[in-house]
Amino acid sequence: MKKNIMQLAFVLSIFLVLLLSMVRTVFFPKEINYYENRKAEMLAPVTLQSYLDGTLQDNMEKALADQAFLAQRIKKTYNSALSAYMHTASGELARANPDRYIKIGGHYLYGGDHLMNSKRAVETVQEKLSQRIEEHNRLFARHPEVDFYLYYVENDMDVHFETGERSGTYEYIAAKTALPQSHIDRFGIDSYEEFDRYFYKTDHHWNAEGSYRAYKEVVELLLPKDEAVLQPIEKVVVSTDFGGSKTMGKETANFKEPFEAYRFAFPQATVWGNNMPAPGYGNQEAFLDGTAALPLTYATFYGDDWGAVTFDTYRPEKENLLIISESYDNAILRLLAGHFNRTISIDLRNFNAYLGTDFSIEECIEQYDIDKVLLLGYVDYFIMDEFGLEK
Amino acid sequence: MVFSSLTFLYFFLPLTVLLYFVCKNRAYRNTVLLLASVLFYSWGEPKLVLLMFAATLVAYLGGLLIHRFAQQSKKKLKKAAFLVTVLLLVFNLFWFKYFNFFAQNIQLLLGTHFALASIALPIGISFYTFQILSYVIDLYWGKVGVQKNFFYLMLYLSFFPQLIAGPIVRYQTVEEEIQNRRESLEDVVVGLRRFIIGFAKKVLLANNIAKVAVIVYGGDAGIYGTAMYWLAALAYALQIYFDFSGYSDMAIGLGRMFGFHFLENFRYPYVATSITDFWRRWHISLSSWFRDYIYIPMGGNRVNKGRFILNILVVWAVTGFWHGAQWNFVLWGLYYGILLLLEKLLLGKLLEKLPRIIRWAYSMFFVLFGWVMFNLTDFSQMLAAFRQMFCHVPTDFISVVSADAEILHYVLYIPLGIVCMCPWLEKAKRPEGFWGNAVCNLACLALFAISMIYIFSSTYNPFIYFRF
Repeated sequence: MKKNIMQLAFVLSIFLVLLLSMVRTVFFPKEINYYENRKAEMLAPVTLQSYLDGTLQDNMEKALADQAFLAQRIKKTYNSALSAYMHTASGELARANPDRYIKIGGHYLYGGDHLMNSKRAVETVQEKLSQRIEEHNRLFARHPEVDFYLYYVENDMDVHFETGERSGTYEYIAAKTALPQSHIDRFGIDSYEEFDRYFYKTDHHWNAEGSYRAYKEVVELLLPKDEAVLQPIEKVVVSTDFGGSKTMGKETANFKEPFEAYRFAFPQATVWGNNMPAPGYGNQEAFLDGTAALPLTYATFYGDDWGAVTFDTYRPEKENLLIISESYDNAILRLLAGHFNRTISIDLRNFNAYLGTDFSIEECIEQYDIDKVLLLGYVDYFIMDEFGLEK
Repeated sequence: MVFSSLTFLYFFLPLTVLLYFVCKNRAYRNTVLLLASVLFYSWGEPKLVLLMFAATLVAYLGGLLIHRFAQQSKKKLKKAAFLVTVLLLVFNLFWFKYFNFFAQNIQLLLGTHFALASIALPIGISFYTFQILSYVIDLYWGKVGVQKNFFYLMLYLSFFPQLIAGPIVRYQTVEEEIQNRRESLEDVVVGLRRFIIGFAKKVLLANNIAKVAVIVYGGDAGIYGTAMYWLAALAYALQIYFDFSGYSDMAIGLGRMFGFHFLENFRYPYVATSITDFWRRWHISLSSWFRDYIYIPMGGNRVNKGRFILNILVVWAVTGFWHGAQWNFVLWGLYYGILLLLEKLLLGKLLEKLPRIIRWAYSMFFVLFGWVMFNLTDFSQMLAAFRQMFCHVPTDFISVVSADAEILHYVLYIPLGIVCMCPWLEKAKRPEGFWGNAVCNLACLALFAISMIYIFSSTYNPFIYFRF
């Protein structure tokens, strides 16, 4: 009798957990998967078509992966353990061989502790690149009244530091873009030391020094030589265990680095986020003062990838700037806004999602009396369909 | 649907078990199993479930005719019905699995270039075809009775535990149990434990050890020297064993939960001390199928030497070919045919005199070599692998780890796999007394929890750019 009860408990304990997870998935699903940084998959309505074409089966599997009891905690536990092991195991090798690319998950370790993406040769992206350049050239031809500028951000996708090979992407863009050479520039990376100095080790973005350098170069590109740049007040260590976008993989979750940032006295500006009044852009002051309630990321610190963000400084004697970019410009928008009457930054990936309509550069130029347009981004900006201006 | 999918674990299995045990009536319980099995198969192949239905119908009607003609003592008609039924079932397998292979090879020989139709391979067709053939052949031989209930025959063929990856269950094994089986708490517990063990073999061992072979065979050959190619061969051997035997364990365990007692399919093949011994331990249901339905009807070893050699080579070539429509599988089958002949005709007595460790090393050497042949379908890659294995090429381990540091993670599972491939814990699977069972249950719960951690980890899919 005792044994039967024990055996029954064994069977029921397993099936109850499985059944309860099923009930939760069907009847009480959660909406956000915070650990994986996205909307949680939920069960879609069952239809004959979805069953026959396999979408129901995929959907059910993904929904269970997000909704089952303790699913996210389980993933986090596993990823932490795996990353701790990989950090230790590969870290020793990386420190002993700093001049080698060591593949770890979807990235490489180089220089001992720097997570890298793989270089993309221009031949592999040439077709998409050519299409985008032609699109830009058509845009420039349609708007001779506006000054267009292009600022290409070189990063670890442009250089293989172990072999010294360069992608040649910037050179290709500069040669094919129908703009004067004085309107084209790059955030150049000519050595690993330069890359290590200006980019996060665990994130694909530029760090505080890198974004400040970019700000100065963009001002030099867009404005007269005598335009004074804003000087930082101080440099603050915001966190000592920051893990950026490159630590989202399970093998690299344990890689951390200090997050430093400059404090600036930004000029006053009214901010609009997605055409709605916004209290500000990003949370720099809160993080620098240690009062931020959000987890630290590049986006929460500098500002999110809103579809549209506008800074009005009410100085009609200054020009109006339109920036079409991605997340790299988030770190320099508040700095650039101080040099213009109105600064508008558009992220074409999210414009429609936030504003409910496709972005029209023609309408924007006319409506906001745009004087200058800056196209800013790294290689993905020039090849991904999401950044196309012609819909 | 596969046993290690979340849909199976969280939806299908609990609902099927619940519905099954809620029903008290045998007919209702069999109906639940049949519907569940059809759902299980159609989940991955919504349209091709009709093919399985058709195969069952052919076997059912053929079986009825064989039975009728046997009762009427019409031997020629009985044989004709049998041959037509077998031909239809074999043709079905041939069309979906082998037609394009033969067509491509004929084109190569003739130098023609006709476009070939894209024929999708239905999941499990090799298994369920052999299964239904065993019914038809055993019926013709009078070893089993005819199944007059189409749905029971469909249940036999489509029963989800063994449908897509075996073991190949003979009809005579389950003939009685389809209508007269007894479920018990003991069977459910033993079955669930067996399922969990198989699940852990697949998820913890097979899936992780596999990556070592994938990294080596898929990477730059210049990086991996002789040591790494042998490690990859060992990794593949462990992967295929834990994958296949794990799946068999899950199938046997699930069957047991519903009162069915399937025969064992693996008996620790990597402790074999000869190739003959290996094949008495590996995929037992397949080798015994070929023995009983091909080899013995061809005369077996009760023929002259020349015919015996031919029988062995034909059976093993077909055994290899059953595994896949590629020449490397045929080569693999013939390889074992030749080794078995050598043991039978020349080496048998010599091997018996050698110490066990030597016999084991001899067996493992040839088994590992065979798995390389089985794994690498491209002959140039296969030859390159053999060159690396036998012509010493030093390995730069720093380059190996630099090429993919994850190998540092996956190699950890190989020693665990080596331990688990031996029958150390065989007694622990049959605990005695209250505390023995309690410890076994706790161990299984822990194993299940760990396996679920690995399952969920493989679904990790973060979005990097978007923030809330």
